[in-house]
Amino acid sequence: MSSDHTDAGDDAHNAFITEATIEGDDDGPLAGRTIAIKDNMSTDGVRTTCGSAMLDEYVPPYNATVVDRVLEAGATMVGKANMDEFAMGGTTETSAFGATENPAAPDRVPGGSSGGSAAAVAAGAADLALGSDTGGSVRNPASFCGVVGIKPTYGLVSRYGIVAYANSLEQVGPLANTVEDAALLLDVISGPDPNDATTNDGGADSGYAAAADGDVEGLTVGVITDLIEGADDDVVETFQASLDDLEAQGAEITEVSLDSLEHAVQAYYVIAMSEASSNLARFDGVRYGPDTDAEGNWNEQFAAVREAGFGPEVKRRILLGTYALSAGYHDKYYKKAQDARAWVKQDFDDAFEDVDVLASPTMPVVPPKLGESLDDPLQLYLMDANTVPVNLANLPAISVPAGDVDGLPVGCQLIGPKFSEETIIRAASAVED
Amino acid sequence: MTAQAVQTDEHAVVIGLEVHVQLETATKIFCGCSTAADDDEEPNSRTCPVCLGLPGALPVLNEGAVEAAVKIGKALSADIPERTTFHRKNYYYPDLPKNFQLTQYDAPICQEGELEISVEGDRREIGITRAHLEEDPGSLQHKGGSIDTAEATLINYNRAGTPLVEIVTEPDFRSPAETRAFLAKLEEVLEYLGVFDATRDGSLRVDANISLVDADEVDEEGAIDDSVLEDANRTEVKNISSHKAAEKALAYEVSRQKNAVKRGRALKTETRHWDESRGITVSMRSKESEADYRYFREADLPPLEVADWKDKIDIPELPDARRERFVADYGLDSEAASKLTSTKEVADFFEAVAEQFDPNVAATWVADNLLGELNYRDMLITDIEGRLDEFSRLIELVENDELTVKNAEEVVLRSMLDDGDDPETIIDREGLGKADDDAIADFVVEAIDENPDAVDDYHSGEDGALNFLVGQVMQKSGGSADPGSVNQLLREELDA
Amino acid sequence: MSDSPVDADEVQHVADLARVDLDDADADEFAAQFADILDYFAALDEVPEVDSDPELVNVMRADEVEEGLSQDEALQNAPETEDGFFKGPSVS
Repeated sequence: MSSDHTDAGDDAHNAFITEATIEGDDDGPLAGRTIAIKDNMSTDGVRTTCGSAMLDEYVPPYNATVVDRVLEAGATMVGKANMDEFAMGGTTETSAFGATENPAAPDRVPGGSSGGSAAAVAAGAADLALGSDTGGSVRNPASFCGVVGIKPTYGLVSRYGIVAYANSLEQVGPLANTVEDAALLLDVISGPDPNDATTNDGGADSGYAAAADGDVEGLTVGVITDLIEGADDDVVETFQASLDDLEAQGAEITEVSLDSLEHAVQAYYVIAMSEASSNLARFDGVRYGPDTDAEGNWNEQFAAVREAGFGPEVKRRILLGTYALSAGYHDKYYKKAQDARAWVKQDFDDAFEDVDVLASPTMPVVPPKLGESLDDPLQLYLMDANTVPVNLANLPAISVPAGDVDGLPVGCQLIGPKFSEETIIRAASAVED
Repeated sequence: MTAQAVQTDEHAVVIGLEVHVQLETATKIFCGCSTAADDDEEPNSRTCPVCLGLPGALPVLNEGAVEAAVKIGKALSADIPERTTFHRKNYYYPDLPKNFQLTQYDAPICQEGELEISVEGDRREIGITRAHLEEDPGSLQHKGGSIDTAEATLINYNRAGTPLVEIVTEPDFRSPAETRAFLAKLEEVLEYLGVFDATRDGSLRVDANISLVDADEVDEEGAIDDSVLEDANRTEVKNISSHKAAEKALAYEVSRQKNAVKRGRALKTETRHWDESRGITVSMRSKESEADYRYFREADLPPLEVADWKDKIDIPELPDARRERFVADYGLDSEAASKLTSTKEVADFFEAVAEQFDPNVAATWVADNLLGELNYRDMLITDIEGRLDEFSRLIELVENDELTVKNAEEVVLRSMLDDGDDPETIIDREGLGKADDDAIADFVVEAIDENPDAVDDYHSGEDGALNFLVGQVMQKSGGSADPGSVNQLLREELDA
Repeated sequence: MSDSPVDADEVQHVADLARVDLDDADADEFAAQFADILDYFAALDEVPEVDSDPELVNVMRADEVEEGLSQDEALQNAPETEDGFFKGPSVS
């Protein structure tokens, strides 16, 4: 196993933070394939930065479970992919290692936070990639880069070794150029892990790759009207075309409205920021992290290290999360957010009594230009409206390319009930041309 | 049932305790690292990504810790709710690898129990509000000084993640002596359950909350109104690590507060640190107002539904019940019963012996002889647990008159412990076998023949002569004859 | 704007809780942003109370020792160590 440690910049789109090769086993379902691993996944002996100055020199002494699984399946890792700092963002522009360019749309963002993973696949720098999806971070860049991305049912894939941002919301997900490849990668990484108490049996003995057979005869698809309203017309038109395609292949298209979605973005952000404020508390410069010249006692040095190591978006979310959990505000924000979450779950469960899958454009817009999105944090959060409800409800969803608007990729999102990965993979393979 | 209220002129004392006990599981509470600490182990040599708080690590709950907590709940007659969950207690401190502690908040594993204590003959029930599971932080060394003056902090995470049960009592104590009795009793019960080891350094840590109230607010049963307590000052005393220290620290506090009141000084609500070496409590620098721990449920740990474990898990008969049974079933006096239940292992050993012999014989042998010899040698009953058969054989030899009590106690038993040999080997080696009856009969005749003057003295009515002759026979037999029967045989011969 | 705006002082208090140094300019900037964001979050007030059951219960592992990290591995990322200990500044 060689480890070639070079800084990002060698690759044309800045998709990688660290280019390093780890050879996988000789045979297995992924033998001969290359894979990019998002830089928030622990790789033994290979720098893992989470896109942050805080972990610029951090080298984990252990592998994430998903890393072990892909290597055992024969894949060769070619590098650690760029990402928004600590997975907080939707454009990969908050990375401390520079932005990644979208290979499918020059001068535009690749999406985020798994922007490097999607770009590596879109550019052909890797056959496959692993990303993580907390509020859309696999599906968003898949949509913007014109590739396939899957967010599995919560608990299907182990999070052991994934640096936590919001642990009740996130899952590791595969990215690839085809639905079948993404499904194959999902087969490899899914299944229970004794090191992660939140994993379930849903992914044991899976046959996801085989489900990419395009057979959607009789499939009922509910279009979520609430998520159409906020989207650009061009995007809706392209999305509609993929629905027509499904219909032509025998699927039945209907409309669905979910009242709870109006509060989904707020609920998502309150929960995610609250969890983040606690998950990132461990970064204090003692066991790992940058050295500091700061003087003073413990509290003073902690505060100095964290001020220097975290970027503004991370600081913003830590502060807001701390606020939402603090005495006097806990009930108003955190508790209400949990109520909203339960409501969203129930709303989806009810909808699935009438349809097999739900559909929406993955993103309400085409990929924005680099540098345009960072002035107004709230606007950025609103861009997640179509993806966050899925994480709140712990459900599986896939983003599959639907077409483009003047060359700018548009993704179609298909959502299923829990453990219905095979169904959404099947439906996506029918959208794929 | 009267409370031993400590009267300080017009004041009564109210105390509540928060007790942290380390559990004797094989591994830590959320990871597979061992809890066994060698005295000379290297710092940070018994950790893993989980207990070190590395990015990406996840906790997985130790079933052994849950079992131990359920046993504790059962022993304290506590309720175990339908569902119990873990929460994060968020604060920053160098001994916390994640800068939050995994603990339990509004759904602890045990609630509303009690423990009976006895102080100077008076029995009282101490209410247990709750008991919950949590993880131990790491250990700190303040380099170049004390906590106030050190230039740097050295941190060792070997201890981080050790399972703890925190037991919180109602403010039911009315004197420092009661807290000591409670803690001693609690330790005894926990050791009986096999979940705790009092000899392990740091296995018991106690924080006490103490208030002074008007004596007439406490009724004769020790009851006091909640509102009175809420209004009273409250001092928290930390850094108590034994039941004896609890009584000392709190007695000091009572004095200190009593003196302050006498001098007209108001008592502050504050936290004080017990300094064992100086024998005083010291005010801790006042920290930020009431810390905001921002508790929320730990999503990485699914909830527990273990209320039915209370029925499925067996706990051994607890010390009090066992003592009572020993008195009732074996007819022992309470002092003997106490000695024989000092630990669960002693009690088990005794009962095994009592199965084979008269209980009083067994009691004498175990309580008086064996425990005494073990104590003298700094040995524990567990050191000879495998030699129950040998010990029983020893008693059997005495009961069958094959060995004198004196030789058994003073020679054989001691040699068994010192040399590790079995009774028969020792008896052969030392020539302690009781001489057979024929040999003794011969010795009797010989003694009479060899000592005509003594015989004449006996016939003249001198008792001392008989003793002399007994002594002669004993000498010939090398001490292995039974003096009583020798006496008998001589009389028969002489009177014949 | 929200009816109870978060001011720079409150932002500093929260920053203390979170152990993140902020200079005055940052505190002001965050205060302005937070006002909008929290205003948006306030809509959660309208949400009804809904219960949900957990998916998994009673996930535990056996009380058996597993291999961990060596002392070197544990210390390998620490900025400062001394004789096998992690080293940090004083507590007081």
